[in-house]
Amino acid sequence: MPKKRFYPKKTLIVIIALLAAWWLTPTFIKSFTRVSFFEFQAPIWSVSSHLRDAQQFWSSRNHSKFELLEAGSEIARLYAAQKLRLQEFESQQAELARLEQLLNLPSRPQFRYEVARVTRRDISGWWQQIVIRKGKDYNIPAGAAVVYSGGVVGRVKEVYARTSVVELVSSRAFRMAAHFENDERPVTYRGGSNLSFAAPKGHVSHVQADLNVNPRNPRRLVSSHLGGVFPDGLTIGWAKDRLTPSSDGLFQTGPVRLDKRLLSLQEVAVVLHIEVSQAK
Amino acid sequence: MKSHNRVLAILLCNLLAYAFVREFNSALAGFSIHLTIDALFLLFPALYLPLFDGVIIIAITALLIDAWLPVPYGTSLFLFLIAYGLTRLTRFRVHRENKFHLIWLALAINAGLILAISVLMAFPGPTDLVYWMRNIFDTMISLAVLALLAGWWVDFQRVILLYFGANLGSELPAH
Repeated sequence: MPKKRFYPKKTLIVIIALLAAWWLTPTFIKSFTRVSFFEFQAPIWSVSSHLRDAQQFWSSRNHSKFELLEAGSEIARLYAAQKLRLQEFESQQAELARLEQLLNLPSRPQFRYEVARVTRRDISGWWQQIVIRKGKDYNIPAGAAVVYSGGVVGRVKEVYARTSVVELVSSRAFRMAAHFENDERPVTYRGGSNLSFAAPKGHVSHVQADLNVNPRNPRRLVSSHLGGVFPDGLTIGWAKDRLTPSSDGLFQTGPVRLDKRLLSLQEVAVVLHIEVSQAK
Repeated sequence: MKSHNRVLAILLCNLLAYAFVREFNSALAGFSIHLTIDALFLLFPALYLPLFDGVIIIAITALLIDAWLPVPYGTSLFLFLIAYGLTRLTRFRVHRENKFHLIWLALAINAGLILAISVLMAFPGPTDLVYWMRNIFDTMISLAVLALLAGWWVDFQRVILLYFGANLGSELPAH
């Protein structure tokens, strides 16, 4: 059989025709294709995540009884301490509610937490996101805050049937309202570019000129309730380096060091708003 | 060998490579390292398969990859098809059986794709030196891994096609 000849023009024509066809494709067909391809892959990644969990479970079973007893007593101590703090918290909440009622203040937003396992981490110089194993099946809304024991993780960006994509606080496209600890004046936080083998970083801007931050006097940057998404007071990161005055001299900007654990999260909690009537 | 069997075999190979790369990237996230070895998906279809078979494989692979990425849907399709077209046009100048030619071609495609994504992603937000340093470091690591894998990967796909009953010498187009 004679071998077929190669026509370079044919390649160019086919590729240009295909690109033009894609450009002319209606948006709803593109969206449908995207969701279909995402949902097609999602079970594969969920299965690999479940396998990792099973692997962890079976490797944990290899621990000796002595180690387990030690871990159990450590957890019992932590549990007792947390129980005391919880009682203290409940009495403070009751006091707060009484004062709010006395002063006729509007009620503050209340939250509940939905814990979810991380199935995938996608941390590149271009974007930083994770995929969690809960989605529409747990009523996760797009835009919800995501937190962990170290503070803010990010925000839910896209929600699918059984998975959700979370944009990390260290991502360049991430923005949120924040304030420094013991200083209620709002500032703007945005994610930054991150080097390999280094802890992630972000940037803080619109910091009042009188706020002094330097290596000897580091300040904790925490979430603000002003955005309406995050509960107030969750750690975002630490401003340790000296802040730089902006060109108009009114505000300062500077880097924020984030927790390195952000890059290797196993489990996070999605913050869900509770309706006031439901909370009562 | 029927064309759709050939497409299916190479498409499955691409999906396998994609799954491994994603798993690897997820594991490397703790070190802030990200591998981009997209040239692996293009090399074999561009050099060894007929035009329409290659286009189908590239389009499906690109749309599958794009579904996860925070970029306008179709970005990878656009980049992959352009890279595919350019690679096909260089088939006259590349000795497909020469491993070094293959590796150099894979490195060139990959570097081009990474540069294109870096430039596209630089627009939405402010970029600084750290952004480019990070991308250069990731590119170097990715190219090193690709140099190790490219030749072996093409051989692997060729063997898979042979198992599927394709005789590359008689069925596939020559230079």
